[in-house]
Amino acid sequence: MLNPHSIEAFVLIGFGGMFGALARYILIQFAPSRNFPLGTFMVNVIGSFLMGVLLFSNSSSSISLIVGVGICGSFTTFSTFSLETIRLLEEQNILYATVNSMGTLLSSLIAIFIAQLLF
Amino acid sequence: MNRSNQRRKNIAFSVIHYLIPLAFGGFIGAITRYAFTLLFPNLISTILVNVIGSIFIGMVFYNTAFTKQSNPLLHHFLIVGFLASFTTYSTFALDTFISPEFAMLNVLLTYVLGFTGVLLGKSINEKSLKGAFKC
Repeated sequence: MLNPHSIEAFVLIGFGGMFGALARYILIQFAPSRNFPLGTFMVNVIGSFLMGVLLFSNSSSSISLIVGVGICGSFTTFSTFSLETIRLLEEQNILYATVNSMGTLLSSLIAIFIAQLLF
Repeated sequence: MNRSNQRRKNIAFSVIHYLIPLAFGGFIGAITRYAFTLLFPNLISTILVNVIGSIFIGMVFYNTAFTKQSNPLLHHFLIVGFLASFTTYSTFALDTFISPEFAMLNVLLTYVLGFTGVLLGKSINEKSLKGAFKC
């Protein structure tokens, strides 16, 4: 059992975050994102699904901390998402900005719902 | 011979200037976010990290000192590593899913404050940081 306030918890979450950030970077590198930020869209939906799996499979609290807070938390990103949405608005691409912001939300919620059905 | 040397140099450059700063940024970003979740109640901590992260990404993204071309190391450490890991979409989506009574409020606050946060960061950069971080 991991004490949430221990230095071990912080370090393990840190390594989870490192792994999540590298995985996000690699996935985004390979996603075709010329006009639409598909890479960020994908990591956010996949990460939300994994977060749902963690919750509904009743994982131990230590696993939830390392995988949920560490890996999934860092694998997904809000700041890049909000920046890219603003960039689309600045390019007057209202359609893609709407699809990005609403699509990420809807797809993530559906992904969590599917995780609930599966686990 | 020449080409494989060049390739080795390129890989070494990517590891030193992209991957290591990114991994280090991800490490501290996750720990900083976790500190917020210990300090503030559930929904509020996620809103806080996402809004603060959006303000900061607006400040640095539009600053020429932090672009991928001008300073790849800082760009990957700060934007792709730290700020991207400090903020999170999965926790936000899960919060929205499991607390229906706050779902609307959570989405509205996160989206409105997050998007205006980027614009606020951008204007902070334009008004007061432009000269400060020139390289």
